[in-house]
Amino acid sequence: MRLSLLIPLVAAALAAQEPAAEISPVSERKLSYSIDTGNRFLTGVGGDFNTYRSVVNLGEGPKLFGFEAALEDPGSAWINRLIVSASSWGGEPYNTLRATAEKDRVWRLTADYRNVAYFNFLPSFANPTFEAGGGFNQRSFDIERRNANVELELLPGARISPYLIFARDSGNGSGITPFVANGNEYPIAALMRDETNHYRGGVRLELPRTHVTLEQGGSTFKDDQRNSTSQLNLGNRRAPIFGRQLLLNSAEQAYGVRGRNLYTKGILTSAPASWLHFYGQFLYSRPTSDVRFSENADGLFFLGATRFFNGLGALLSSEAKQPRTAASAGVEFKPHRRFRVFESWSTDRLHNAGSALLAERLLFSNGPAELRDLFEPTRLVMNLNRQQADLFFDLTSKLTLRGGHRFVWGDAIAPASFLASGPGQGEIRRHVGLAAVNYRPSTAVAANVEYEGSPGDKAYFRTSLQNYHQLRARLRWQLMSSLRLGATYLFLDNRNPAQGIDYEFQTRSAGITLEWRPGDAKYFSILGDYTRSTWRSDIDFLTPQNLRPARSFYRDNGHTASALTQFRIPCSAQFQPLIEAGGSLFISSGSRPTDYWQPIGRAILPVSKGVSLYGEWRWYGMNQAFFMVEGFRTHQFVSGLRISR
Amino acid sequence: MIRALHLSGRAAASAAALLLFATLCLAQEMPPGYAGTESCALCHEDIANAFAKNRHAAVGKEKRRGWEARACESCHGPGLKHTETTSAEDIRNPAKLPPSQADSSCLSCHTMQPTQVGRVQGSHAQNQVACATCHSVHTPPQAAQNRAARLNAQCATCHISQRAAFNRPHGHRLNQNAIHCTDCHNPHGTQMTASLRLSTGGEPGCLNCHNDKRGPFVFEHAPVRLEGCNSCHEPHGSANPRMLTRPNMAQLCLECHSNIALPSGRTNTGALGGIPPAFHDQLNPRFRNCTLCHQRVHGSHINKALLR
Repeated sequence: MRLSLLIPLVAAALAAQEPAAEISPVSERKLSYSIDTGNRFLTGVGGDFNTYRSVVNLGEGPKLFGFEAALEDPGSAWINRLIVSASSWGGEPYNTLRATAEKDRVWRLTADYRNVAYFNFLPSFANPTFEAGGGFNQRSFDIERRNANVELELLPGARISPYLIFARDSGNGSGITPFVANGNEYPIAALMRDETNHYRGGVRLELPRTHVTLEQGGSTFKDDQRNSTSQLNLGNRRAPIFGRQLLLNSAEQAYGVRGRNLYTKGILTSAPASWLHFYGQFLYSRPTSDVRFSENADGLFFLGATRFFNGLGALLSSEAKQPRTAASAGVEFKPHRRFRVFESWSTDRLHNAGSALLAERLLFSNGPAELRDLFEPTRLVMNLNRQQADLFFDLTSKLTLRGGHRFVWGDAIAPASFLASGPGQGEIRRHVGLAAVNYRPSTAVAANVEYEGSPGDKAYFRTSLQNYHQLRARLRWQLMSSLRLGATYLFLDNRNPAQGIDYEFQTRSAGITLEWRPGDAKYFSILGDYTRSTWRSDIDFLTPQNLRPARSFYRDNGHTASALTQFRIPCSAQFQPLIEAGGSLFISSGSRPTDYWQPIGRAILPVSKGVSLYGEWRWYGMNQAFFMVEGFRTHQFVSGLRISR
Repeated sequence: MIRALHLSGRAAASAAALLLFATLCLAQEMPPGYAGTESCALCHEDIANAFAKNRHAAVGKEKRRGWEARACESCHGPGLKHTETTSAEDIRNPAKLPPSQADSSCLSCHTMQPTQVGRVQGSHAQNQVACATCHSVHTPPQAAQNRAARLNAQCATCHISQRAAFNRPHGHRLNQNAIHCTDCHNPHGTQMTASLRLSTGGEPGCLNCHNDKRGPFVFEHAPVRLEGCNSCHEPHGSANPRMLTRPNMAQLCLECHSNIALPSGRTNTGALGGIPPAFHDQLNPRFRNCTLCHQRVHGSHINKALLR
């Protein structure tokens, strides 16, 4: 009775309301933040420290592992969202910082910064005396690459939305690089510095059934590498030539590379009808480089025959231009509810033309200087086209079949190779058959098998895709609400039977992943994956010194696994310590057998609401059977504090 | 017991009547068959609250999209009948539709975005990976912290082998969350193989970070332009130094540089790439470390043999 009275009352109240309005986001000022900070301790690195730095490179000391602050609806008319996040600061090799600020539908600003340390000093790499038990990497780097990207979008989501983007990428650091002089090469110190600035601006126009983006951009580039030495250096060649030891007393090389690029880009997407979508893109760019290079050295250098010289001076001026036109178009056509067609086409055409003018001066201790001029023009041309058609048929609502054909064709002119009378000419021509099956018996299961294969025709390089078969299979299965399973299988077989090549390449990879979170991970959860991969490559090659044919073999049989288990100890409603254990391992055999282990254990102790202390142990260990000297191992301990609100 | 059942039955009937009446009141200005977002919220309160913080909520506020106050029905279709019967059969549920039909809702708006331009070339669309496999339509955006970690974990649910490769010793710093998968790949598809992103100048996206290898060089190394970085590198990770596809330089280089040039400009095998001169004696370790001398292997401004 009371309910029957209530209905008209509620109805009257509802009817008296304003016309139906959309639910508004909860408009309350909300600040949330989290901080993850702590101190890392290393027990000392056993084995080779340079390899440790080349692979892991984590150091000791206080760190800000992570920080985030998000402010929603601060009450300002100019901004309604601000998010700042940062990770790995405090001497870490990889720092990131990201900020997003926006006023809904008025503006959006995104800034992203990364600083990635690149230390590479593996003793076995580019070390001609490694097998004799000595020497060092003569192509080593200790540099930092910094990337910054700032993007401002006005009126996002509106019909007309202009945007401006500035990006900067720079590298700065030092290293070792060889000074290559006639008959010998001498490792010398290098200072590296390069910088690229990109400027882009454009406008997005969203019409009722068509979208157009027009963008104009440009970039500037400079590279000012300096290599120098002022110490006696005997180089890699220790055997005398005609009784004389080649040597370098001092050397200086200076690169001055300046580049710029202007490009124009247009993007069109259109859906004139629900059964017809068009996509298209066009880009024209014209990058150029101008280079000034100078080189001075003194020592004893071999000129050929029985001649030696003592000093070298070189000046070079060069420039290169590379106009490029790229375009692509695609159409999605649905003539029937169960039948769809994808058709796409793309072309990429570039023409690189350059020339270098080198002036060299050779100084002799017992004669006049010799002057040489060398002018070298060069070019590289690439025309690459691709056309693909796919037909989709929904056999049932749960089963989709796909068949298609891809045709790749193009030609290239490459710089002349050694002893060739003219530039190299190559062609690519490949017909590829495509087939796939997609099966979704329920919302919890999705399986996909995809095949492509080509009988091969023409390819640019000896190891390019030629006569190949590729199979990919994937499975996603939500076995129950707490248990998810995924599996993949990849197979590629590629062959080039041409005489003198006889290339046989095969790779297989099978992976499985499992996530189990019983009771929504109230007490326990596990996430793990395992992948077995094999690579096998055989190809003929010619031994340069005698042109004898030989066979190159490469094998890699890898096992990779990673896991993370979590145990929550319910001491009380408030105090529930969390224990985490897991890590990753990689074990391989074959051409470069490697073991790489990274186990981890962590304990997280909640102190109060939103505050927890944690302690972490990690072990990094790498061992390579053929390169024992490059093994390393270290324990790392972290004690930290996490605060979140 | 019978009385209790009788009461609860009556209460349910009254509640359904209340819901229907409220819906009819709320839907009075809706197009035929539509109930309006507020009607949906009467039963699906949790979803509605979360959805209000999702970017898609804007759909219901924009006149020009034609879904004012009907954001839910922009994807789920007309809901009036569903509000009357409360039957799942009477509402469109994209999660239970074939991906091509489910995605048509998303694409009715999102086709109008530049990021979709490579859609038909992308393997996700070709392999029926629905938009909702990766994107959450209802829930509010998650906090930005560990954005890279979350993105990488999401991709890894399907791309298991690719993720595993990052556990090899020499690889890009994905596990350290310094980069994420979408830095290099556009999951919506591009004209490049593996949906690799393009740089601003149309080159492979690798050059977005490795600008020092962008050129143009006077003396180009042809494979870099013609086949891209992965002709020599395994970008996800490798047991070999510098992410190379072979453990030592000579092997990597000579597998391509073993063709005898012919006067026609072609080679005896038809492939591009010459052969080193005879003094490159492979018994001498100097010549087994090719990049000792050919240090500008990505291209040189100075020297034809890429020596400096």
